[in-house]
Amino acid sequence: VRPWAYIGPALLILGFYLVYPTLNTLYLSFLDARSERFVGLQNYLWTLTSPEMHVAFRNNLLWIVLMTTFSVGLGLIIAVLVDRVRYEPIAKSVIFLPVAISFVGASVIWRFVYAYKPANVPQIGLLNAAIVALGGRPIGWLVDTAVNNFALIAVGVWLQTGFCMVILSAALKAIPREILEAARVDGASEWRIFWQITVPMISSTIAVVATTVVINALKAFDIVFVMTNGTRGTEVIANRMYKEMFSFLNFGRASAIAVILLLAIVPVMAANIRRFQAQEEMR
Amino acid sequence: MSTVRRILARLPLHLAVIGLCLIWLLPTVGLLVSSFRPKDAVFATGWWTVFRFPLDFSQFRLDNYIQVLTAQGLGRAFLNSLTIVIPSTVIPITIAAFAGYAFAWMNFPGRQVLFVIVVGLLVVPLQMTLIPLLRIYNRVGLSGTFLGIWLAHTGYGLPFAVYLLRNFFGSLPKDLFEAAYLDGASPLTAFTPSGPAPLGPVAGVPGHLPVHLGLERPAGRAHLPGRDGEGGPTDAAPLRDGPVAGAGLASVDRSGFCLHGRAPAGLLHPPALLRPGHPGRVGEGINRTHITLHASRFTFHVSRFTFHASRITHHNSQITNQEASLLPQVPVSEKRLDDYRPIVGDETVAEIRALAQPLRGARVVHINATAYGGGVAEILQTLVPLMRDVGLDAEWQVIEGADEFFNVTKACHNGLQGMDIPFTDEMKAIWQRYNEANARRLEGEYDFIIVHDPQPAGLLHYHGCAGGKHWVWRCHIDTSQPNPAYWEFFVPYISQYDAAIFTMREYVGPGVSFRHLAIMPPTIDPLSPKNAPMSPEEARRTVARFGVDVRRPLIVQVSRFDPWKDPLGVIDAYRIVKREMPQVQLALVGSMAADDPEGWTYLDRTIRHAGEDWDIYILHNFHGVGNREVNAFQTAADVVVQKSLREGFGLVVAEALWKGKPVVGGNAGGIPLQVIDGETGFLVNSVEECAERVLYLLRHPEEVRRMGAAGREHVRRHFLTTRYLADYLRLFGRLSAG
Repeated sequence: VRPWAYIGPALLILGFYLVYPTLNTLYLSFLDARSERFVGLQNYLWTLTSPEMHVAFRNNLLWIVLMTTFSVGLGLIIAVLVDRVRYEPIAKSVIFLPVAISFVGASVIWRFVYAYKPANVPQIGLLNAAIVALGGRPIGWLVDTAVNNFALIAVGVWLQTGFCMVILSAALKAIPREILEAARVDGASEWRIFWQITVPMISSTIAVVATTVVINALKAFDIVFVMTNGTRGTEVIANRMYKEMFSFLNFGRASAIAVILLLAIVPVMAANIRRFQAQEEMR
Repeated sequence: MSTVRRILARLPLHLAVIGLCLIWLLPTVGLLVSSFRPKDAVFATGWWTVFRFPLDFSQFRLDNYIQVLTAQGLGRAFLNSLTIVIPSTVIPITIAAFAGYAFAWMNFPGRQVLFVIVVGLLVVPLQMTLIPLLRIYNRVGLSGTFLGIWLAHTGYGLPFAVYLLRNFFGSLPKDLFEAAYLDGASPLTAFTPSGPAPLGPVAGVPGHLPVHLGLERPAGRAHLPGRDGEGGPTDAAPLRDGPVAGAGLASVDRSGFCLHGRAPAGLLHPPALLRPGHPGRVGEGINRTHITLHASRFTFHVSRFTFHASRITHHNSQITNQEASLLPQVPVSEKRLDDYRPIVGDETVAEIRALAQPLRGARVVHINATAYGGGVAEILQTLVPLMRDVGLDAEWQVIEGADEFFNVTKACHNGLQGMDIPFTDEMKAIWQRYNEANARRLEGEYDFIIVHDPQPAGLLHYHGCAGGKHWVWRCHIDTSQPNPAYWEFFVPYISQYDAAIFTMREYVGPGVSFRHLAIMPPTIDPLSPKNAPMSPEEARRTVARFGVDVRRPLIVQVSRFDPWKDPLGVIDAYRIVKREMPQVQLALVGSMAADDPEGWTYLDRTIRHAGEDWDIYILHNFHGVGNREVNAFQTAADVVVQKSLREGFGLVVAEALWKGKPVVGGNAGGIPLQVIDGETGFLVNSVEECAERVLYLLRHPEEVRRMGAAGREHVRRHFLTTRYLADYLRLFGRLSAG
């Protein structure tokens, strides 16, 4: 009985706020735009074949690969580096700052970074000012299809790295000092200690953080929605879903996209379960 | 020496840490610096230029802060934010800590499966949950309460919190717990006192989550300029006590202290928060407007949804008792013909009175499909009261039907205008069934029954001509090239009428003849908010609110965003003009409907075509552009364009002419009736021609004045409501005479 008392409240709330709407979504995904007629797999067929969705799938893949690599990588590097300096709290606060800024604020901030003016006018965007100062031509960061996806993902990395860093740093602190000392006494280089002791010891935390970032990348919405609304080839799955739902009022398609989004995470989840099982076998 | 070497050895480390911190901080510093700068400076030079003269304090201002802090409602917004944030952090962490502990250290059947489900919920796109939840919230009265928001944050934050905490508890050494049990601790004490201690570094993290869930987004209780008047219901607004800070920042501008609906053109529509170099946004609460827009668009959709839901139930109940009831009457306000006297002159008024004299007491009923939204309803709102004022016993009734009927009539509307869409037997049956049902509900004796448009066209057939002496079918659409499937179906119904009214002679469809045929171009109501006189000053003030520089020339086109109105061509023409006259600005003003996906797609295309040009303003009703605003744009414009490639009547041209503006119009539809080439404006057939004419007008203000005056006079004679009234009275006279 006791375990149920512990998880009961969580299950109850989750059931209401997430499970019920999800089942509702699954049901709607087999109906037409107005949820009146059964249309079978038509919505799924559209989701998987329409060119708009293909762009979105490609972009989400970009988001997953790049945002996860850079956020977790940078987060880990920063966590390791700041561990060795006395002003660690300040440095960590700075990196963590974006996590505490709502996206509304972040978008204003990045406006001043990506701002674009024609070549003959003084630049007010940081990046373009730097490029022009170095003798280059200004780039329309959010407009140019060659770079705009990367520009958006960079904002994502900026927002996520602090989160990764804080959690990884907490895990680093939990590594017993003696182990590291012992390694140092044995003459191991810092590089070797990092790869052969630190990383393996916090691997479970890295996996958690990476999973979270992957999921966030799959669900990427706010940044795209606010900055480009998916125009110029920056569409992502979640934004497309929002459009279908709230702009085009096609509940069937929106629901089908949502279900596909849910299914896309299954492999990540499977990897996690295996890891948790391993963790339990070890103790 | 060794200390120096040690410092040198650690130098790369310090450089790396400080460098990374700087990179992370730089964007935020830019924001901070900009917040102290006057808005003109912000958009003229980069924020870093202040460091050229860091001690020159004259380049810093506190205005922006004063403006924000003194804004009404901001204190409330912060209080609301606080009230939301604290419980929304504490509740999920508490619940998740228990659950995470149980998942990590307790054994029970289904543990693994349940955990997978919990974590799997991390990926549920929250946008999908809003509508089902809102419905339940409305039912149980949770919407608009703090409790509702706390619980929603809890629900949305739990999966991650459980996931993180379970992982953390799972990695704690087993001995810790065993030691506790040995000391006689129960699982609960083992959980609580030792839990929070190691939990410290981790527990704070999920607490930040609510901030990112974007839950506050639908905050502001924006009043929505819903096209069909269905924008209103505020039950979708989460908070009765006003906005929350953050997203609530968005709603502050509704209270009027900052810009309204500033949305120039550019690539990054609708939100366009990062639109570079847009004047006037930063100092005055940059993205508030856009957020509000989106909040309102969102709320709009949600309220539309609830509206639809209520409409469906409404219709269901109606179908059941519709056999018994009469057609609903539309209440209209009172209007007096004499109010038009100063505008149209004594002569016209006297003529109308004379026409009405023999018809006094005649019973007239107008029947159409909708009481609000759309041109027909707009015209009837004026026409019916005026008919009453001249002594006719006029009323207005609407037919009713469920969505299935209106889906069919929408297809009929398009089909009769020539669209290539199928017309199935099922659709025909639906149309007939509702017409028959509505015909049974039409009762009373009338002298004139005027049936508007195809929706109720079958009333005469099913009702029989008994109740009315004269049946008139008023066709507002262009049936000159109808889809034969639709036309052949409708002809038997419409040819039963005694008379038919078309907007233009060319609109009469093939192979049908009427006993009486009247041609009545539509008219504008000079007393409506759209056309009522507005002082140039008020117009300038309104237009400036949207960011238009009133000192520079302005070209305006008011139209929907669709290919036939050619907004892209207008932009091209503007570009040509701009080469000659760099200071020129362009405003494309239109209205958007939530249920019109093509419209939104084409709007996106238009915005993309406009690119990053801050002198192009693309505005629509979701920016708060309503009748008064359209009026203001037309009044403030130097030249009005209506570059349609295909047009209905294009009444918007008359509206512009009425404001004394020459119109450069496409040679299509009813535009040539209104734009007399070289007199009230110019008719054009290409982008180049359009640009050339616009430029000509911008360079010859005296011509603008001359044509503007001529245009206004032209409208006064031919396109004011009073003319419409006179037309009807003439037709009634003809019918009475036989």
